Amino acid sequence: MDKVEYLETTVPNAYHGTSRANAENIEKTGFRISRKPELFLGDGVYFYKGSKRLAESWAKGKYPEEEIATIVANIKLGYCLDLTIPEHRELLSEAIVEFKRRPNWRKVTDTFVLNYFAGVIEPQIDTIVHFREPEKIVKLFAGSQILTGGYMVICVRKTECILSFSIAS
Amino acid sequence: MDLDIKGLKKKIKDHFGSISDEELAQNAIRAGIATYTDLKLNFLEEGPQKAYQARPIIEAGNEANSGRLRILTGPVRQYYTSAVFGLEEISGGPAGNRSLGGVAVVGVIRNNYQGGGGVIQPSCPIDPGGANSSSSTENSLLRELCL
Repeated sequence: MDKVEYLETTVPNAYHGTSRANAENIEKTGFRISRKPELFLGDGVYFYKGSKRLAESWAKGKYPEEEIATIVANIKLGYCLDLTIPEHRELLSEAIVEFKRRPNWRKVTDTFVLNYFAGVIEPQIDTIVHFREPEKIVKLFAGSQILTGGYMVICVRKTECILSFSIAS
Repeated sequence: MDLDIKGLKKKIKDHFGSISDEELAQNAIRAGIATYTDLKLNFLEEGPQKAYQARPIIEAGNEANSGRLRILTGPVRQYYTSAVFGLEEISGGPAGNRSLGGVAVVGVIRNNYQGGGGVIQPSCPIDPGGANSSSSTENSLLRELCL
């Protein structure tokens, strides 16, 4: 069999929700990497793949008193830790096992493990992709294998992977 | 480029196989991730005694911060949740925002932390009772946790 050529993957419809003021600022100065403990995939700029509505909904929760806006971006996934792929998840599992062997490091969180993995062990990681399951699993209909909820989140660790963006209309 | 799963699994094993807790903490601090709640969870939930046991980690962080620990209070704990290794109630107190949270957090903060909103207490060298210490309560906390 011929060797399969690796093609660069881009996501042309990734949405980032924020306040209108922030969005206008981002449009002028570009994105900055967020570093907060509540970012479950670690440091980065977060996008919803394909869903403007989810980005708006998140922004409304975050900025209840402000006008909100969404930014649509074209993202190059690059060197991507894709947590929808079992082999990629196994890498994190292995790192977690190693932490848990150490008495002082047993209570690590997603944020810490991902930041350690993508910041120390393999700092070349450009992006992290994750399918976030809904809190309550509901199938499309009885017997269906398709979930009614859940969404894809992209955490961009390197802003050069955001190839282009604009405030969505 | 796709991830080299086999190579990365080996890299993980090699990384953890040859690293001490102190080096691991230093790595985390250098990478700017040791300021997060994650580390706090390791040491804080079990109280100051556990934090004391984490002394090597504190020292590792301390080294990365030019020999200084800092006292952080309520709002900082919420938003920056620094690499926190000790937690104790401090009631009242004259200084700034200590009264906001009523909780003092002794921890190592990232080197490039810019501060903000005046919520950070002055740098406090490990010098309980010394001229540079910012209060006697903080001094006793430092003594308990770090010395």
